[in-house]
Amino acid sequence: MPVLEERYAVRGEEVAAKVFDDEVVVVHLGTCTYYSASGSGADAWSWIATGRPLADVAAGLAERYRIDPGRAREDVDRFVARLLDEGLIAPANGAGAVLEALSVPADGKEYAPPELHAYRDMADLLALDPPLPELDRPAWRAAGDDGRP
Amino acid sequence: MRILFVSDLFWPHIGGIEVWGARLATGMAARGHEVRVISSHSDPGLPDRDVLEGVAIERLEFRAAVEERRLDRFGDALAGIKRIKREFEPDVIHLGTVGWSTVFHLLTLDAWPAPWLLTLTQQRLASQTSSSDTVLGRALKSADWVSSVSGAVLDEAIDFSPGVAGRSSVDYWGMPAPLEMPPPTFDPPRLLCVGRLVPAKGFDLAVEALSVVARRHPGISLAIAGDGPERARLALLAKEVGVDERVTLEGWISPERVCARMGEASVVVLPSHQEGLPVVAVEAAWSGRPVIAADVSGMAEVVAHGRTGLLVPPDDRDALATAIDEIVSDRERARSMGLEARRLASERFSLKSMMDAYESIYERLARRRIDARA
Repeated sequence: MPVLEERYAVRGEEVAAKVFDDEVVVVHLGTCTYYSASGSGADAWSWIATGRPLADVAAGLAERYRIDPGRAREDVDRFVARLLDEGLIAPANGAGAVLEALSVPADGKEYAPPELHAYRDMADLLALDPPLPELDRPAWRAAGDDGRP
Repeated sequence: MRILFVSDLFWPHIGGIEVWGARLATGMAARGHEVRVISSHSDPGLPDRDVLEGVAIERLEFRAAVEERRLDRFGDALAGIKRIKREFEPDVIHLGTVGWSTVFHLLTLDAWPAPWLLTLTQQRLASQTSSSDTVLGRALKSADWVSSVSGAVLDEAIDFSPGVAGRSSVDYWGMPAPLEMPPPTFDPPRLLCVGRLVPAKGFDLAVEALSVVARRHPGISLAIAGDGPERARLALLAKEVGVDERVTLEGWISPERVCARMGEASVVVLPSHQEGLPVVAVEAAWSGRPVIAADVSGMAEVVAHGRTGLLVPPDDRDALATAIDEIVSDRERARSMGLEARRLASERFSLKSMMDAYESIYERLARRRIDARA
């Protein structure tokens, strides 16, 4: 399990990520596996990716979702362990930049522990159905039965 | 009822799933429902917005976002599907297949709380090994209803995700009845394969089987209608096994031509390694042609062995050759198989029964939402 004071960084040479509203989408370019996380997971990802120590990340979740700080630390630990397992982040070298303390007022959102969803079959789904040629007009009608009741 | 249909590809792309989706969407619009389609903008030449017989189509960058791993496009597609869901406020959402568009739907489930239906059109992929971290696994878990194009595909889905059992149905693909064809002729015997030229279709087996039966039936020929990456390899194989003068690679034919083309054939051959419910087998049945097919997945639900055609073990060239020989040698039996196939098609694969089945599912799902709000 990671130590809370540690910082982590996104493995930029193999991993691309983007946060959209309340959702983060992460792609491991090596395996073509897609990941997503929403809510607290998107928050945690964003803070981890900017080099914040895990203690800050846990404090941020506790503040935003008004949950017990101990619970937040456990959830962040689990989330980070999963990100490490998937090869999406790695321990950051050095002390890291000095960042301002997180200020994340509670916004009334219901808390669910950060969870990473993986989609491991995307490459196969693409290969399964390559683009096909096109028709220049609808052409599947036949005389008689048009399916109407 | 407002129906949002989501599909990786849609008209004007052709292929079994695309033609089925277009029939379903335009058919529902013809029944008075408001139908909108979200599809992929995989071809840059296609407009972002289109209309097909009263059905509004919007094309988003699903495929490019995933294939090119372009996260900016991913964001645009996510925003697009959210916007459409919120603007259209569908009573029901129907995913026409499991594909890359499914991910975008799953990521935007909260955008509009409509019940949703997933149609399974093919077998599970070998890579889909866990119910929690694949697109299929997550889709099966969260869909309100799962419709399968064949009993075999549904059984596999239930094995994979047992919770599907209580919220699923088999709804066969239907198509408009083509005009009745004259019975097949065999002077000379003409075999026909139809489909994408990809390894999964097993057309190489048909070429090899032809080389075996050509010794007993000198005039026999094989036409392959379709195109794809296997074309050059099939041409080379035909030459290698000495049947290049008997094999014609015809290229694509449009869906409305398929049944007429089948009417010119004696027998339709489907040596596929993998199929959900082969549309070609349904078209062959409607065309009154006996079918010789590999016994994979849902094939036995379209081809009644010994009654409408013959099923052979998959990947078995010699069994395929023996079956071709059997049909071509007993023409009266082949003709009666064709008649029986057409009867089976009208019973099981009519467009009206397919439309009725889906309309009933939509209504049931939409009702749930109304009840939940009440």
